Amino acid sequence: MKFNCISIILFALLFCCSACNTARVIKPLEKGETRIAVDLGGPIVGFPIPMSSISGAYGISEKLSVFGGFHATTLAYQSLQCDVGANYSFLETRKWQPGISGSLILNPIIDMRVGNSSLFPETAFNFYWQIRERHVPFIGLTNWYDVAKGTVELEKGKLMHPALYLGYNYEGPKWIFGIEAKWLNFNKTLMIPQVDHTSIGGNGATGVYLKLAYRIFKTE
Amino acid sequence: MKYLIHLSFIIGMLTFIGCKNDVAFALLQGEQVEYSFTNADLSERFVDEGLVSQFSLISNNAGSKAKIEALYIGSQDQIKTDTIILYLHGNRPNMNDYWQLTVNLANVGGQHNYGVMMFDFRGFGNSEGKSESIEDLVADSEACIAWLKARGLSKERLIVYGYSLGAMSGAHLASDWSILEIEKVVLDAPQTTSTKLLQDATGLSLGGSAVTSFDYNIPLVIEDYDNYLLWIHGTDDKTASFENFKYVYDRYDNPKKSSAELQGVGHSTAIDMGFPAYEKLMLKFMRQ
Repeated sequence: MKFNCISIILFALLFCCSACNTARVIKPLEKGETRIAVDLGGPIVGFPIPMSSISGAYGISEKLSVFGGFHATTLAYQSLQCDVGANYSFLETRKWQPGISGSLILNPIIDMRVGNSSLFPETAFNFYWQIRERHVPFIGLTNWYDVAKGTVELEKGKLMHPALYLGYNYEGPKWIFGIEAKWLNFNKTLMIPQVDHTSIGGNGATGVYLKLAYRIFKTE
Repeated sequence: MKYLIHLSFIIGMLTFIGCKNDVAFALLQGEQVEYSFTNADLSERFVDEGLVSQFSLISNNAGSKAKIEALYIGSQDQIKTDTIILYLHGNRPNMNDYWQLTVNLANVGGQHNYGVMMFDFRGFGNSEGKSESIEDLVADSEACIAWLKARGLSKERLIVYGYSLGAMSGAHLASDWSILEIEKVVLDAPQTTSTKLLQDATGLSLGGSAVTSFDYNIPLVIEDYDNYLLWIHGTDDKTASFENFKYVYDRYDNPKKSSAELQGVGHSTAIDMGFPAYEKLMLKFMRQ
């Protein structure tokens, strides 16, 4: 097998379809706040694979936010992948007590070569802290559900496709910068020809993601 | 805000520019090279350099013609009587990378015991054109079989040996031949299907067409093949899963099948298992 940078990137982008962006919303948006964000990053194959997505979010109330995203990388492979979801705040953070929020997400993927479509529901739980207003460290667990697991070849399908993440957001008055480390698909071994991706104990793949977001507030 | 808009625009443009991306670009692209097939390029087992010929021939895939570069090790005058191995190479850039392997095959059972033909698929080495589909690979393989047949080769003396990428082509060729029936085929360390390539990377129930137009399916096509088949696979193969091989092989209903399951061996099966074991394996298969 050839082993050049382009081959590695092309093969490594096979990862692209599964949970390859930062968590869209960790801490609920303020009521009426709109946020537009760009994500960049992916599994590490010596360097983070440059996957990208564009997303938007809106604060419906102090507890409920809705969001949606579009994955540019998968479109580059002629597959349209989006995500739409809602985030609800169960508990607000106080001093060292973490805030807890949960998200329900739908991830449709349309294969534009032959017209096949798939839908992967997803749940996520976030634990976050807010330190001196601007600093938001967080951890979380997300899971994709593959309800069509029976169609995976050689009977190797699984319902659960979890990922653990650990990150930090700097939330300025207008801009948010975030960095997130993710352990994708930690319940299985992933295999890509000639690509040595980083994993933990041989399971899943680890990745690094960056987020840049702009906040727009309604003026009364 | 304008920076974010600019960044989104750049990402959008990159997406647009790359919107014909295909994972198979990494699999099906070779590199031009100055061919060198001499004993000086070998580390062990050598050839009579007078019996090595390099030439071009024309491959035609349903009207899509390409001049492909080929190599024959052995006496062309004896093609009408010799047993010939057609070697379909993997996705390294060109034939130079497989020179030692094909010399090893020619010397199985004694020096120049078998005639060996190798070629660069279109887009590999100095072969013209571009490989885009399994049909392109099969057409190039058949162009070589036509060349051999024109020099007197008959089906009972032909063995098709496919390694890695070449094994995908070999399996499809064996099940749907048009020039000479394939009575013996060796599949050495192949990936099983294009869909499995994606599913092994994501674990999700997505079809291979989500990332590539290159569609191959070994378990499906070998259902139609009932002649001799040898499948070689290393247990430590990180390129083509051993587990996938076992699943497919164990369910393949063919009394003429055999396998070599190589403990502790990776993707470079023929090198890693050592020549004595490889020679014994190949002789047993070819002489049955």
